[in-house]
Amino acid sequence: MKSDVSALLDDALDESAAAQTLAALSRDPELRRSWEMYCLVGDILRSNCSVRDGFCSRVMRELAAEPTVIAPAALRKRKPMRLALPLAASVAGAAVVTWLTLSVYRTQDEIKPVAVAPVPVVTAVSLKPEPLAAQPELPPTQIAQTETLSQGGRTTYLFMHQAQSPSRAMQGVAQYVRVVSEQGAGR
Amino acid sequence: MGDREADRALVERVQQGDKEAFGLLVAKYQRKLARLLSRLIRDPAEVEDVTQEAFIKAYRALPSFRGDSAFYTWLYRIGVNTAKNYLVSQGRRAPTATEFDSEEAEGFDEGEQLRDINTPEHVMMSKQIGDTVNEAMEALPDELRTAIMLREIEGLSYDEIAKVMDCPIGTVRSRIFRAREAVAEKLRPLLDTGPDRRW
Repeated sequence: MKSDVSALLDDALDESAAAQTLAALSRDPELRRSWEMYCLVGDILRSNCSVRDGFCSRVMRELAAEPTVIAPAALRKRKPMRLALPLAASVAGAAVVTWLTLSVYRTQDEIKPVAVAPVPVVTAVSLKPEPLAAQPELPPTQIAQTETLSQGGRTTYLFMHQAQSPSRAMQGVAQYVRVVSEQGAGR
Repeated sequence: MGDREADRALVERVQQGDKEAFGLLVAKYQRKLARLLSRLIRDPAEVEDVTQEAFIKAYRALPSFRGDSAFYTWLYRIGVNTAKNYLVSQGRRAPTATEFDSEEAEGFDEGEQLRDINTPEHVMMSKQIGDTVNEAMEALPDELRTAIMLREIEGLSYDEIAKVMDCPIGTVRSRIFRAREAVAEKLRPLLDTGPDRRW
């Protein structure tokens, strides 16, 4: 441990070893005397020896009468974390929103042909009761199929390929967007 | 752990209520600060009193020490201000800022002779200590003597000493420790460092 005290004096210990050595220094008076002795040796070698024997003792006696200093050093150390965590949460939230927004725009771009296609004919027929009432002998699904097939090759093609629409990859979000587009186009 | 880190760690311990950690800082800087203040105050006994007062002031002010500067720079500034206030209170002229600056003081001429506290007893003790250290240094093996001289006098880091001496850093650390211990071993009987005696 004395070798650690010597290394600590030279700032040559890593953080955890330094913390252990400092804790040991607080507990062990013998280690503290080694620290003082190493300081003295260095000062004598540098010709810095101008204080009498017992100076440190006198200062410590004076300090004994002083109220113990307590500063929120530990809190100061944690302060960056206290700032960093909410900041990280905010950045993460913003990133999620940005990602979702970009995904929606991308999906909208990809399904644009579907949205502008005349698919609403199918929806319009199935949603409006009047045409159904006008042709009561046919069930609504049959009407829809008939109407859809009558739109020609493009409508059939779109209907058959809806399963492969890229909007399927975004369950819940892009699907909703597509439905809204269809409804909007149908009005 | 980099430069100044040990001081910062010690300061943090003091700020958490560990008074003994402040004692380690006193042991480390007492002679440097006294040497600095001896350039302002002629009387060696007064130098010691002002040095002591500066340490007490530093202890009281530690809660406000934010660590923006090195501890020793901050301490020296307190020391210089304490000395100036002391001179003013004694009706003596304090040096102006241009005459003396605590920042420059860290590197002032190391070769300047010290003004020892010149009681015959202290003069004799100082001479004895100096002689003992010199003898202990002479008795050290070359590699230990070189390592401690490079560290204490030249101020090289362990890494730099390892390059100079062409050996691993661990060896440097061991050599410096062994050298210090060897010199300290010779000094201990002289200083009679009992539990209540601190240098």
